[in-house]
Amino acid sequence: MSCSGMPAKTYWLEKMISEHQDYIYNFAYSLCSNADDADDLVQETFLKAMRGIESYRSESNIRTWLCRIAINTFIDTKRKERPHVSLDLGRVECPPGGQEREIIRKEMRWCVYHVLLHHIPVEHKVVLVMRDMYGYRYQEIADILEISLAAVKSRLHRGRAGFYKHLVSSGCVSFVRDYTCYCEGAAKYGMHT
Amino acid sequence: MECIHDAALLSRYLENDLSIEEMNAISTHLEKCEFCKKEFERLKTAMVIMKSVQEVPAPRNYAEVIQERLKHC
Repeated sequence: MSCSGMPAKTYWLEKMISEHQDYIYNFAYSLCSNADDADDLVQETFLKAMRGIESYRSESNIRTWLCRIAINTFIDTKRKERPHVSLDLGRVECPPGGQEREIIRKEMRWCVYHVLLHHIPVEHKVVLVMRDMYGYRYQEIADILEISLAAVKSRLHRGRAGFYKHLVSSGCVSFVRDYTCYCEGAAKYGMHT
Repeated sequence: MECIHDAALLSRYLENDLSIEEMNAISTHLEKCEFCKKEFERLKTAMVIMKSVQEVPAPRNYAEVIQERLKHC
């Protein structure tokens, strides 16, 4: 793409977004666990990035900078408690013809986002997603979240433990049928503690 | 070593985030402590599941969306 005749800011915007939108969308989805909220978060992230271009100049990595904006925006807007609603992630359409591997992959994705949304505290989830999904180093996480290394490690462990507990130990996986989560039912029978 | 039962330590062991002496001590401990071994396997499973989630493409061209929104700011 040529920038000839195109305002520099517009060219920069298009380049930045086209290079990073898939990454930022998936990162946002990991935090929000649903498409609508992820879409809002991506838009807010890029809008804030455009308005704060000057602050980027001191950053070394644009993707890290965008993630920092996304995390801060997410934390600012999503702190409110969300009730557990069984079908709020929507039904995942399975491909026709019983492509088993694809179905299992979508089921697992659904389960992961469900647990992240409903069963992991925000501060643990952010660290868990950054480290285990996106491979950020401890120090990067500490810098972005402005917390100590010890806090990163502690939150990561708690996030992992909570994630495993809800996804496997408490039976979320085995209770999922047709993308309906029966966690509430599990809780009723004392399987969620 | 006494039973560690410290999952935060196991989490760091999982990522090689300990000294060689600590790594060796925990390796030895895991060979004989079923409780810690199970806890370690759980943490490992959680990490594998998290990494297995596949990315999807962004659902739309955000450059156009943002351009449009900037016009109305």
